[in-house]
Amino acid sequence: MNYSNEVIKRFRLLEKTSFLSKETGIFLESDSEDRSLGIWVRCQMLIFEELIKKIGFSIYGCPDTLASAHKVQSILQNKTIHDIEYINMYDIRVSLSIPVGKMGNILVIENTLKQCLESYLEVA
Amino acid sequence: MKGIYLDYAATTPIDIRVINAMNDCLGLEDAFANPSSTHKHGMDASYLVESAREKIAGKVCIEPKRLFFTSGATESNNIAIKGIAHKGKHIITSLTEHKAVLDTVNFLESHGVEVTYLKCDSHGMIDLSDIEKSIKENTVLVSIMHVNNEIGVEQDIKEIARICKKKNILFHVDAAQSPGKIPIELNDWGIDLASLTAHKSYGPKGIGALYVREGIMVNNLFHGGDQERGLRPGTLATHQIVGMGKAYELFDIDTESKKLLKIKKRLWSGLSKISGTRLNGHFEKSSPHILNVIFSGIEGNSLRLAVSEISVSAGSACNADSSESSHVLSILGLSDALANSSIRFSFGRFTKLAEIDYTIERFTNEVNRLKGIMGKAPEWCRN
Repeated sequence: MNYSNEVIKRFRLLEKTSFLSKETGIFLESDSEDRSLGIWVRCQMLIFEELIKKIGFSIYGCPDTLASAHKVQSILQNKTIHDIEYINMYDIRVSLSIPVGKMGNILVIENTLKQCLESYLEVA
Repeated sequence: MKGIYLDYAATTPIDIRVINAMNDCLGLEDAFANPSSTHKHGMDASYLVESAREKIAGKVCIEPKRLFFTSGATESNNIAIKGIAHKGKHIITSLTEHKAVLDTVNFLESHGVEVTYLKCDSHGMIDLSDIEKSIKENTVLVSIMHVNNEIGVEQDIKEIARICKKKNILFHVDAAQSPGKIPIELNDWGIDLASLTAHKSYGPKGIGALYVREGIMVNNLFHGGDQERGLRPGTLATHQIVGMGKAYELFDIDTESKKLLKIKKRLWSGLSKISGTRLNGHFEKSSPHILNVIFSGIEGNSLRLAVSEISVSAGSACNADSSESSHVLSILGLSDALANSSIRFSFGRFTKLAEIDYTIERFTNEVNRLKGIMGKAPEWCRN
């Protein structure tokens, strides 16, 4: 088990994110998976006036993937939905000292973000 | 509470009494000399080696002269199998053997030896009638492990030995896991060859032994001396052998197996209350020191990091660097996801019940936390 300190720290902080139905805004949800890597990611967002009021992930995956999602969550919280375009998973990987061999795992997160953005552009 | 060790099936700590015995074989004032030397120092060392041989032989019910020291069970398996089978002959083994056996027969297969790999049921048990059905005219050896190192199931080696004897075929047992936990009577049970090790039973790493029944010719793999009657040449490691002898001398199977079973029952009683847990293997037909549990729907790497203060194993510790699923769990019919969600707990002489209670509490809390994070993952993550 070789994980960076940053990954371990974020992994331990992870908690379930709950979305309440009475909250106002546009609710977005998308799933992505890579079965060969054993990764499944669901991204959920609540958008109000283009701001990401709440973002959460459900993930079946390794600690590197969970920690990466936590980092993305902390970056995008209260940003605009369009800021998704500026999320660079390569930078996330470097900032968490995740080995390059795990890039495929965390790219599954990027897929869900892109799908959420596309869904928003369709409904907005 | 920090730093709980529940990986005794990978290796055990050395008992302090074993350490003390080994220390008496190292320095100038001790029995440090080459046991093959004919001077007094050498004879002192030789006496300790032979005394250790007697202690080990006594615990597995064989004549001391039929025990040959090796570097461990992997080497013993290699000598036993390669020393018997050769081109044109046939071996029977099982798909759930340790890599030390599977890789050895695989090697022989590429050199013209025919191999039959027996399957097992969903609990890991071999159907004994499959052994009889697989025997051919050119079959020379059956190699089946006693206790599986990953799921703990205990094969009926006494009955397999009877089948082999009836057909006049040699029977080799990889007995790396069983000594000290469950009784093993190699001679009375009719076993022809058996691989033993010290480090799974509170002895040092790097020492093991091969039992060869009287009258069986095993070709040696190494050349370079007459030690161990030429079967395994090389200077005998007195301190290691003495350590193994002391470790075996300390066996108290009745007391220890009762203690281990109590621990196993307590652990399973606690873990089985967590939704989605399942047992790999068979609770009753298994060694009391191993419990392999599936935490369905929980990604194994994440679970292991979440409880990283508790040293447990994902499948076999020997496979820790491999990203492939355990071959044993795959044979049981588990998907990659379920194999990945499986944890092997193994305990021993120094395990305390308080540690087991702490383990249950930590796994319960972390599995529930991870379930929340993993949400409603699709079926393939859970089945």
